[in-house]
Amino acid sequence: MSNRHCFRGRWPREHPLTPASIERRADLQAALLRVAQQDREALRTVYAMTSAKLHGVCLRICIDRGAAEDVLQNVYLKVWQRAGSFDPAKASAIAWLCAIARNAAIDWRRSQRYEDPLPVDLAETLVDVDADPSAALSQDSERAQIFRCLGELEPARASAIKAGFYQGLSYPEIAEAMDKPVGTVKSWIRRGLMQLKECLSREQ
Amino acid sequence: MSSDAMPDRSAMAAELALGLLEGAERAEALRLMLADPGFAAEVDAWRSRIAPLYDGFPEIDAPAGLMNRIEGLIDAELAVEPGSSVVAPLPAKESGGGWKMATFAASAIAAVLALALVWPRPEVAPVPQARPDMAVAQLTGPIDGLLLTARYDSSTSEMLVRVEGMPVTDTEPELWIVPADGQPRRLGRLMRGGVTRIEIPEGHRKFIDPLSNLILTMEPKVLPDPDKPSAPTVAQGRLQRI
Repeated sequence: MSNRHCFRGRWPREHPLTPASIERRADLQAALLRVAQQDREALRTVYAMTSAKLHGVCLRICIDRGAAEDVLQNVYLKVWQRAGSFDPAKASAIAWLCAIARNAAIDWRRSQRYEDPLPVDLAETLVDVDADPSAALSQDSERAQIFRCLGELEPARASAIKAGFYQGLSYPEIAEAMDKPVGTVKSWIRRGLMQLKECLSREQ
Repeated sequence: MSSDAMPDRSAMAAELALGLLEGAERAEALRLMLADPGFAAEVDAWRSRIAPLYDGFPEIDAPAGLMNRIEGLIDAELAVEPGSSVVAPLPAKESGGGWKMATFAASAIAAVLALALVWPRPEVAPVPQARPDMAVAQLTGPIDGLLLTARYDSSTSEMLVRVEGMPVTDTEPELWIVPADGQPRRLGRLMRGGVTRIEIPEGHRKFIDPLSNLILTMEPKVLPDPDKPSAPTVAQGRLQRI
């Protein structure tokens, strides 16, 4: 876990897209398109390029290592079966893969009905905002924008949104973790999302 | 700030994209995804907006040997029956985080996770026989849990289409084939669950090839134009010859 960065109170510096990262994204997209043709070698390539990331997603939300491993295994089976529905015009390959992993992990989490959600602070300590995108298939300057926009929100709103995204918590779970009424948390998140949308459109 | 009140529908689109909704609220949002292209576009826009946040997840090496297990499961799936699709069962864990699938039976996502498609098995032949020409496709889209699996058998010219996880809507699921020329051809209306059997019209059989996509649209009860979809695609998948 040498590349896990703890993060508190700082927003990431901007990482320009490098030729190497552009090439890596193109390679991943090409491999995923070949998986749609049931190319087993391409699946191995996709796995080699993304398993650490998707494992990070699964483990972050599931917390339980064994469960994260099971979920990850099923994520790649889904990728094998569903790669035909990947549309490069709608999402980057890494975003498409991460979405499958996150949904599967949230599904597992909700099936568990954790009685003791983690403190929301933990969502921040594990957010890897300083990871080097040139190595990590990142999403170009939009990435810096959304983190910068999150930084403009009131801390409680940002924390609630991040708890939902990075921990896969539902409204009642976030409310419990933050020790606030569900209505309050809902209002924070809705207002925060609206501000986020405005900020992102302003920066485009 | 005064402008930060979010209209309910926009909020629901964002909440669905973020994965915050559960139960009845989630079902309602999924129903809207099918019924309202504007809402579906809003959800898609939110998914794009939040995609850069995935960079915030750490990279943690996957357990050694996992890829071999995945390949083993794919091999086992292919060996069981060509064209069938089996997602690995999720073993119970001894630790505190054991699987309790029964508690989540209502979830459409869980239904997909645990999905094991059981097609009517062909008669077991005592000697290997030449298999008829078959093609399969899995159709998915932006609606979590909605999964269609289609299997075409050239010996009968029939396509069997299984529908899972279809939310309740006022519209009807309509299946189309889109060959390389990009023009959709209607295959027929599907039942909202279970397996629908469609006899492929003779003129359309030539389109059953790996260059074709199957797409699903949700159409009004009376189809405005049988020659082209009137609603956006909500699930799609490429045909694979097997």
